[in-house]
Amino acid sequence: MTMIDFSPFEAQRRSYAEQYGAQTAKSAYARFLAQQRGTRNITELQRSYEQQAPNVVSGFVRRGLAGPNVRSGIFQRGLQDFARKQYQDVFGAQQDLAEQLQGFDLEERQLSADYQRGLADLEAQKQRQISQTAATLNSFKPFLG
Amino acid sequence: MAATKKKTVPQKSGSAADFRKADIASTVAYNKLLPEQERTPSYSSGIPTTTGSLSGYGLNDIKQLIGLSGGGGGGMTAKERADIALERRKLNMQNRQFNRELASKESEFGRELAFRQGQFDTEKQRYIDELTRRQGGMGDYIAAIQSQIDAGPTNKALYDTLSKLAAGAQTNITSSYDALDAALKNIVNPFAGYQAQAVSSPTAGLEQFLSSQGVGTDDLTRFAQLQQAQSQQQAQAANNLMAQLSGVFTGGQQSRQAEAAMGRTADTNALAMNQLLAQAQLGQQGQGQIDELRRLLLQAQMQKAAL
Repeated sequence: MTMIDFSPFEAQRRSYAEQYGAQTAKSAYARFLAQQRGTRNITELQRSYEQQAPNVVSGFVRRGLAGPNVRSGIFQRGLQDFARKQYQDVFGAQQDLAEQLQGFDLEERQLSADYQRGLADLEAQKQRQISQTAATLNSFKPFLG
Repeated sequence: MAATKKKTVPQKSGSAADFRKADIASTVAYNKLLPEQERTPSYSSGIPTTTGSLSGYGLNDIKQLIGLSGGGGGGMTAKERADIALERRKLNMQNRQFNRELASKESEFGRELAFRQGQFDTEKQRYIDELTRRQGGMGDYIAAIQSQIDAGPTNKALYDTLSKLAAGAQTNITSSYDALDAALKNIVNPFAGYQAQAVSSPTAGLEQFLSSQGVGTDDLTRFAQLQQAQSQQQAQAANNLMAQLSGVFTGGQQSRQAEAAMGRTADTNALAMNQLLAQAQLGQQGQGQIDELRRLLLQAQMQKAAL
């Protein structure tokens, strides 16, 4: 049988693996940093609001809009706005982080899909070459003169 | 002075002594002209006894000889008788020479004839041997060609070789595409099973804060629910995207598998076709061999018939 040189296929396979490894490592590291940053950001945000909360209440109290026997619509609205803003900001940060992580997930899956498609195509090419070479019966041609 | 003319006087017939003298003289004179083996004695020296000397003699010659040797001849001189005797000896000698030459020629012709006959017989035998050899050799040659025709083409063993190579090639094709199918099936869809999670931010802390300040929490609760619904939608969108990408990926894999199946069929058919072509080519080669052998056979048969 005609000998087939498989080294180009193996070289290509190594190239795909190395490229995939480098890209996934880069993506994983970026994800890690993003998660770190996002989590830190959320934490900072929550702490900030937690620190602001007493000041907001005291501000209303100073203006006489809040107190034990004061039921002020302004205070109600003001505090609800504060709570809503806090929730919105924190939730927004969390949503941003989640979306960013989803982006990294997508990128990672794209890299995996590209890598596996490349391997599949390479494998198909290799096996097709083997098969087509066998089908030509080249090894018998010397007998035909 | 005028030449004197001699007058011829008829001589009387001489005596035996005269004859003898004349005979001896003429014989001696004549013998000088001859080689030694052909010299003959004169009559006067005695009656010749050798066969050669008697050759060519007839009865008249004997009579004349007897007449010359002692009888009283009628009217001839001794010289004339001697001349006649000399002429007879010449004649005898010529007869002897003729007979010798004749014998020699006969002998020579006989030898020549025998030699030529021998040559002819030898050549004839040689032709016969050569013809026999050629006919025999041609017969063996024809038999050898016929046996080769009966044995069939010499490339019969190649059919077995072709079958084995084709079987091995089919095994290679089958194993190649089996390996490819296994490789394609082992590929995991990276987009499959992905579930993006909606953000769930608890409001307990804030509700507690608001409640502690005597502020209602309904607004916050509604707002939070709205935010979470939006997050759900965003997560669903992400999931939809992943599902779509998963479908694309799966479709690609199915396409590859279908392509592998088509390749398996195509290569199997190509192998069968190549095997048939090789068999046809072998058959053509074999037929060519048989045709050539038949041509040689016919040629040899024609040559044998012409021998």
